[in-house]
Amino acid sequence: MAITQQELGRRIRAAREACRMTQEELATQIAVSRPTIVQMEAGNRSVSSLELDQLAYVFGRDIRELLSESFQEQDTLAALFRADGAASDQPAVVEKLRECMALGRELTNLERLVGIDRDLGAAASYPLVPPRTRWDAIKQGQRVADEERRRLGLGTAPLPDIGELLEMQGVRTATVDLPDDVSGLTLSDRNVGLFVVSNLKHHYFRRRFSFAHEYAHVVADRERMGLVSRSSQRDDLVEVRANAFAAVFLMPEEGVRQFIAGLGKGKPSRAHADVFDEDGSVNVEGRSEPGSQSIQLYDVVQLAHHFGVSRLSALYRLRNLKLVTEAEFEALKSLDEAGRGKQLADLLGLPELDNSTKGNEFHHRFLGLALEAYRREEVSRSKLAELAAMVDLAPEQLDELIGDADLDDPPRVNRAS
Amino acid sequence: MTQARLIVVTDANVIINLMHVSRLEICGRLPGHAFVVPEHVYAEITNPSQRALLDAAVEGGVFRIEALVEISALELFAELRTRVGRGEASCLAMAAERGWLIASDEKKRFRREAEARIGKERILGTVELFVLAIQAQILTVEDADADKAVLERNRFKMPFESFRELIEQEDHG
Repeated sequence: MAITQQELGRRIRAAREACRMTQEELATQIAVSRPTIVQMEAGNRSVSSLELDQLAYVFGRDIRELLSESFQEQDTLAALFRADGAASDQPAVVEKLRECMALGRELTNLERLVGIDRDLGAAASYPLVPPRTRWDAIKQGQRVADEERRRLGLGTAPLPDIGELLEMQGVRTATVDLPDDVSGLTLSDRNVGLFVVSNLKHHYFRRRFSFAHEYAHVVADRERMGLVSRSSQRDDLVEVRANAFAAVFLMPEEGVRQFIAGLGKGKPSRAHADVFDEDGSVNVEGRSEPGSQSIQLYDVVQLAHHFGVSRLSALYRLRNLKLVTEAEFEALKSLDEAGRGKQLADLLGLPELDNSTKGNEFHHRFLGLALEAYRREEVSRSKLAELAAMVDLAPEQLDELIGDADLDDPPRVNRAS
Repeated sequence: MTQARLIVVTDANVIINLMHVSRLEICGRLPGHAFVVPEHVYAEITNPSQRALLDAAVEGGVFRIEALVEISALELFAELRTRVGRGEASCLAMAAERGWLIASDEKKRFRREAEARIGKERILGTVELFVLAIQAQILTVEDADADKAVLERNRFKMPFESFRELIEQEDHG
């Protein structure tokens, strides 16, 4: 049975309050006056489909939720604002969160329409006590990363495509143009499922790290429903834990040690052993050639390439594993910052991945699903156009795409020529 | 006694087709018909010159803009939004809720949704509007065929040679 206008008004108010918005702010968002919002919320004024569509977007909700029997006052965006008060005060972040919610919802819908059966239960969850110190957080992150690598049977190998790995765990992934300060975000929504986003503006390696970081939130912080990862909050304990997870998940200790050993390095400069024969022992000391174990920038370049991470990220990992000293770390970091790392990568034939061509996997996948849904007549041409616009495809480009894909509808006129 | 009026909810594609041949006034002159444009459809027409033409037509009483506000219609709108565009969903929900006709040239998924929810007989398109206009002597067959040629140059193909064929079919059918 349909809800009443009064009930719809009550829900609009509840959704607004959950998003920590004032009536004035909401009025500005949907371009009406504050008294109009007051009247809507009181159930004294009807709400048009145009307004309801805008309200749902602003609240980060599916329009159907506002009308359905299963309406819940607290949802993902609201939970995120509750957990991260700063988020609701940053309009650029809020707008991107809304976009991400809308994208996630459409992605879920497209998958359903083309019959992709995503196993949302595949992703593991590790119940952890909240870390009390940074050290706790680091240890928890490292332990969970090791366990998760083991669970996934990844051994010590590098992860070829972390986005794909996450998708196989039932986690939807997207790369979206986010504010500079935001490296990624995680949403756990009852309709969208698990959805992680990395920042399209960031370098490919950083996005890989961000996906691993967000995956930590998926496996360790799922009850929080939503998290925004910002560089300004890197000291927060859950962020420290997620960063520690990401470093180990991308560069497992054993894998790094094996790789460095393969370069003939990583052994201590002095090693002792006692050979015992049931009666007595002989003490043996082995020494490496002075300087032979010293890790050079070209080693770091190769390590970074092997694991698909930035040189800086590889350097930090080496330092944390005590494979370089603090002084060596600083020296290598300075050299890299001076451009030597990039030069070495070029000379070694290990050029950095082209950031632009590696940036649009999500767009391709989203558009591919939308085209398939259109081909199967699951969505209309206008819906396809709306979906294409969500990933910034111009109408002319969509026409071209439909033509090239041989999916042309009976020709028609629908725009100014 | 007032003449019973059929109310037609009009989608953007039909409006824009009529704009291309400067025939928006057909909608204002068809006897027994009134044409409604849902808010969502109005919002979809963003091209400034097209918006100006639509505004002038609204001003001249050719169309009236209406909001979709009934809760049950909003529910249908919300359900349809997963498969069709905003304008289409509002047209269909409005037509279904209020027992009106719909004018849309969308095929495939939208057509199927529309047929399932309001029935074939309540769906019109650009072609049907031209036929009604000829029958009401607003247009001659020659006028309509000239417009057909313009629309076909704009990639709106019609599967017949002349509107005369359709008029003759109507006369015999």
